[in-house]
Amino acid sequence: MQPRMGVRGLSASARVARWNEIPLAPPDKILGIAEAFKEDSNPKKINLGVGAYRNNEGKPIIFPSVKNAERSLLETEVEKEYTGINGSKPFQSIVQNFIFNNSNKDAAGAKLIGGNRIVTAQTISGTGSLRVIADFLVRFNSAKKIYVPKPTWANHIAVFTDAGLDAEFYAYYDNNANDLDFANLTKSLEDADPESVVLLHACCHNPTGMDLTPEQWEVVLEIIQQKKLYPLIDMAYQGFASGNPYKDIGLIRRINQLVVEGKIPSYSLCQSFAKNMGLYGERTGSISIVTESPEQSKAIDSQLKKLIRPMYSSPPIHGSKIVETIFSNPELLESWLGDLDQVVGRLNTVRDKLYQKLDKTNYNWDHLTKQRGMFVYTGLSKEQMIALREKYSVYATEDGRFSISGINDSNVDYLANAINEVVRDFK
Amino acid sequence: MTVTTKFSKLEAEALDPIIATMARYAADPNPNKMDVSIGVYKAADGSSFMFPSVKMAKEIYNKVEPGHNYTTMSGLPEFIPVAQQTVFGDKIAGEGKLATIQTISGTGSLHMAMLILRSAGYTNFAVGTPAWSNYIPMAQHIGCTTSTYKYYDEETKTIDFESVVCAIEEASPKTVFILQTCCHNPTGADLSKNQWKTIRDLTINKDCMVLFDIAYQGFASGDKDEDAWPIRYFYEAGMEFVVCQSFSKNLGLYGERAGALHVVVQDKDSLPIVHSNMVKNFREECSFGPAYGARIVSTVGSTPEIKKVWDQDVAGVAERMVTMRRRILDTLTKLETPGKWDHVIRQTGLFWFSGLTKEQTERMISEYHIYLTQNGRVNVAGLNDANLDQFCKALDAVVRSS
Repeated sequence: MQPRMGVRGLSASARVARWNEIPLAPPDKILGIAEAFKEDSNPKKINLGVGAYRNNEGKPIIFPSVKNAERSLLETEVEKEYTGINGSKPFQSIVQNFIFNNSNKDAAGAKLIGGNRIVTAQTISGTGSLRVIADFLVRFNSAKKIYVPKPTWANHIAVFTDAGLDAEFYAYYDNNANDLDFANLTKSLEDADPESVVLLHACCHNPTGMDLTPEQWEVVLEIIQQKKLYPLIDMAYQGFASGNPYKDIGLIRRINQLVVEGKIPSYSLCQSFAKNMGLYGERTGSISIVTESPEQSKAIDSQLKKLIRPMYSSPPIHGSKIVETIFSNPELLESWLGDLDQVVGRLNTVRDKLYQKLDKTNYNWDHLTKQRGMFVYTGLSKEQMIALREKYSVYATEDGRFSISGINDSNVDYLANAINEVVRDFK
Repeated sequence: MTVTTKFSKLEAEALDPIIATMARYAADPNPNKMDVSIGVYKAADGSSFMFPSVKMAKEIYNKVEPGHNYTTMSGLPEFIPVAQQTVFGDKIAGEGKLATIQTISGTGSLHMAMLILRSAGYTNFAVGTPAWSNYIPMAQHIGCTTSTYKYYDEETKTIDFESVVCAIEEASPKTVFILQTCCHNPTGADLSKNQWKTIRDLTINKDCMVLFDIAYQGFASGDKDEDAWPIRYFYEAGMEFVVCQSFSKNLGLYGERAGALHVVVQDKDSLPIVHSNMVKNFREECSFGPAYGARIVSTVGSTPEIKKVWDQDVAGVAERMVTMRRRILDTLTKLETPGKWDHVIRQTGLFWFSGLTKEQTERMISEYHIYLTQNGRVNVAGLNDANLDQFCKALDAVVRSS
């Protein structure tokens, strides 16, 4: 008779899965910076890595409008039941009216909404919306290639590639001139495979902060029509260019017009309230697909649901309830617009201060004044960024991007001096 | 100008059956309509139920104002140990063999589980029928195969354990068995401790994987620890397996999407590798999990007074459902409804798998305005003092005239 097997008697391989088939996944770069920053004992250390807003005291903030909305929500909320697979209906209408209809100021957008030509689904913030549309395009778009600007947010490529799209760069930025490389941008789009997807950053391009002018967008939209490219717009920073969210959607208004005129059949928009309401961790965003017909809207809506159901069933409600509370109360809405304006105002002040204190004899810093949003793309080399970290405890990604909300009155002099030193040292 | 459509391949998809039922319910003007379909707990007066423990946690949240910052890509740091302790108990949670990430509640956890298992070579998912309707589409969504076996016998209204055993014995290598830990959805028929022992013995030397889906922890026995027994029992044997956890039901946090994926990894060197891949998969779909629900869970779980209230909340829910089940049986007995109905008290949790046929279910809806799912599943929590008689009389009438 065989002895009863104890745990020890079993061979390890039988009980234990073969996890060694899995290679170690690389950590997220930004998180690595946060870790290293935490361990640095230099009292003057500065973290310019995170893409989240900090106030002049270096602290994260809760937008006062958001705080008020949340307080009233916590008092009145009586249940937490599921929202739909594609999220809350009021939230969908808010997104449509706010962005596509520009709160009743965009006739073309109004026409698209009225004609049932926009399908909106609430998603797991910006990343979730990019993932859902990527999965959707893999299944239903004729071309599987997506062109993304060089450079772009690192996770864009990871999300698209993992979904099965084939990501390729189009020229965007000239690292030597520290400026938009518009000539090569248009050239690479003209050379793009027809019917491919093209990713456009609506405003505050991440990481360069350098946006196209309306005239330049016009040229790009012309190429999009000629090559029948499918525009996928990512708008993570609505409001951070001008301080006013209604002013930062010029590209969308123009595309709406072209859609109404029948010149562009369809496009998609990914957006989130992570930055412009400071709702980062609540994961509040959406995907909208502008469709070719109301019948197609029905089909696309049902396909989005079919796609989302096996991924996560339905999106989280806390953030979307805050958005709904703000948009349903005119005073809160006013107050939010004021909060956002203040945040962007501080970023612009910080940008100016840094610019003034930088030594322009060794390096041309004019690009700083042209860039918009949460970042400055310094153009500093990898060696200079490493020197900043090792000698001055200034932490940022090695591509030379600073998240400028980490700058404030008490560290701007130290920072400018550190930059001036490394520019001199690595001249 | 004519434009060629990019989306010519598209056809409208039929609604998920449960969503279709809900839509019909919403459109029904009858004032006495009754919803016993979707798996949401209702209070004894039929109203929505906010757990008292959650109310307490919300008050703390309101005072502390933690803000809305990004958490980490593996979740809110203080949420992770609470999630682990809830399923595994404090002792196991402290042994360092769990790779855990916060997920978009139960579905998100299952999705992430399937992805990590796929990377490890486990690409076939075995589902006992009937089952939660999303398992098979979920496996297919990521290109994995599925196989089914009979879990529940409609005749005897009990688990067909022979069929379960046979499925495990004959499974091809690298098969994942999705097993619901308690309050089986939709049948309410749970495996006994002896049956779990048999399953452990069968799987321990086999190149297969067990995925525990624990969506209703505490709703079977009223005791969360007791309901998690099978998981801890497998752990004690030194096995590797995965657990998909949700706080949707046992804290009533449905729409907040609070849940976690735990992977038990025995080898210390492999654990960070497995974890890094879980984080990577999550980053490519979501970046971060939603903070608010996770904050509520961590406050409840790490504040002893609130945790005690939560234990009572869960016990109260389980007790109310046992009472309703008992009353259904008593009422049907009194009405002398044809057939055997004692399975209503043998089954556990929110759902009673009534055995009503599709036709009978349709008549419950169209003639009596009582909305259950097409497979005859009744959410017991949708019943209360005010509507129980109405429900039983309708069921009696439908059964009698079929």
